[in-house]
Amino acid sequence: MHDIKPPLQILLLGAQNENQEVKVNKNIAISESGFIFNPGTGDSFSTNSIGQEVIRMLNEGKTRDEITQGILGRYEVEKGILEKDLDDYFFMLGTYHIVHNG
Amino acid sequence: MSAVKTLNIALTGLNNIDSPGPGIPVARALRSGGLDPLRIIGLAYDNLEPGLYMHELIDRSYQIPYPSAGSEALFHRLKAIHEIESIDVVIPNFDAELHNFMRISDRLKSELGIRSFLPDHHSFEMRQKSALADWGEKLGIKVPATRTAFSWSEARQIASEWGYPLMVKGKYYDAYMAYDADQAAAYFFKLSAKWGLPVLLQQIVKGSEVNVTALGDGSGGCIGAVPMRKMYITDKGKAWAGITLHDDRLLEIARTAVAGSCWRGGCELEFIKTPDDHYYLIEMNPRFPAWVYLAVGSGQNHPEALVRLALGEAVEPMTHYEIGKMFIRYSYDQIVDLKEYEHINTHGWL
Repeated sequence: MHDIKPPLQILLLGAQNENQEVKVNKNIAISESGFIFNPGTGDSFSTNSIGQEVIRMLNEGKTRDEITQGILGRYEVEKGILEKDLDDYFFMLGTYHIVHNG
Repeated sequence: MSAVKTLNIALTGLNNIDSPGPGIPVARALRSGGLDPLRIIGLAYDNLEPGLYMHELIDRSYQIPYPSAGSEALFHRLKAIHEIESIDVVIPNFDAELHNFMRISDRLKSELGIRSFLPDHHSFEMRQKSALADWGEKLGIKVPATRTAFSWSEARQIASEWGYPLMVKGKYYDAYMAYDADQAAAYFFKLSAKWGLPVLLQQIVKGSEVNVTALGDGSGGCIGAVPMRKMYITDKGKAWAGITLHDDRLLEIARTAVAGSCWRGGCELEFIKTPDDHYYLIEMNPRFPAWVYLAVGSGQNHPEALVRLALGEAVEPMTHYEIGKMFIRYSYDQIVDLKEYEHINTHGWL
């Protein structure tokens, strides 16, 4: 099992369009405790509460920009730092086949 | 008031060790099913097979001759055991013994009334490691390139064409990854000494290993199939923990293999799933895997269904299973009285 906890080390999707949709892959199961299970690969992960919140917003169909605004509205964080963390987080979610670009 | 006849099932594979045989999980599956009243008779090759002493699962055990003694010796030993135990169904659980059991299965039924549910020789041979690539090609199933070698010089020639690393595999069991000619030579001689010739060489396919336990009805139908990914692998390559998957494509390929071989009985299909979602069949084992109880735990009791098929009952295909169900194996030190060990050694039964 892997931990997925933003902020992370890797920066890759920095050039991603802010309105580009990121979708949670079909059949991905996420529990209230932040436990993520991919039934296609058998992989499981844990994420912290903000990570859970991001995935919940993705499931609600929110765009990257809406997620950024949602978090900025609720937490004291610099926009630049948040965007970098989100880049890292989405990259990690993509690497583990939890999300894909819509 | 009418008495219900006890069903007497004999099975092998009681070696519940670090590289476990499937006998104990199969016995456990039968105990979990609806086959009461049930009596399970263990058939063992070695007096230290742990299942001999698992009296909560195995009612009585008998020694049987090693496969190298041949099918006639096996038939006579089973006949002697049958005179005591009135065996209804026999379930062999080792690759290396299957030839003997298949050879005598008709006689077991016609002369003794012992039923089994085994593949025929044609089906058995087409999924042999040495024939797997050709068979897979006919069915449209990808198989890594595999060649047989009857001598080290032949193996060295194949390896020099392919390059390293490559897999060196025994005829029945065991496989090693060789990174250079020295390693390949060492594995070649180790495997040929243990399992005989030929030794197989197989090209490496990178990806994660996913397996399917399945049951074929012998007419091309698949009675049940459950896919699993190994979560923890021992140094012998055995799964110590695994989880059921939701993978329709994998199940479709498994059903194609079962249908294409008209497989009759239990089997295990081992695949490598590549990062770009291609599946390569690396082996089709001709018996249930040691992790078959995971299928029971997730909703499909394949061993029970096999017994019902052997008895001539109609069995509906099982399609549902619970996804995300795990097994985690453990080891356990049984305490055995010397008297028991003495008994199996001196009397041949326990």
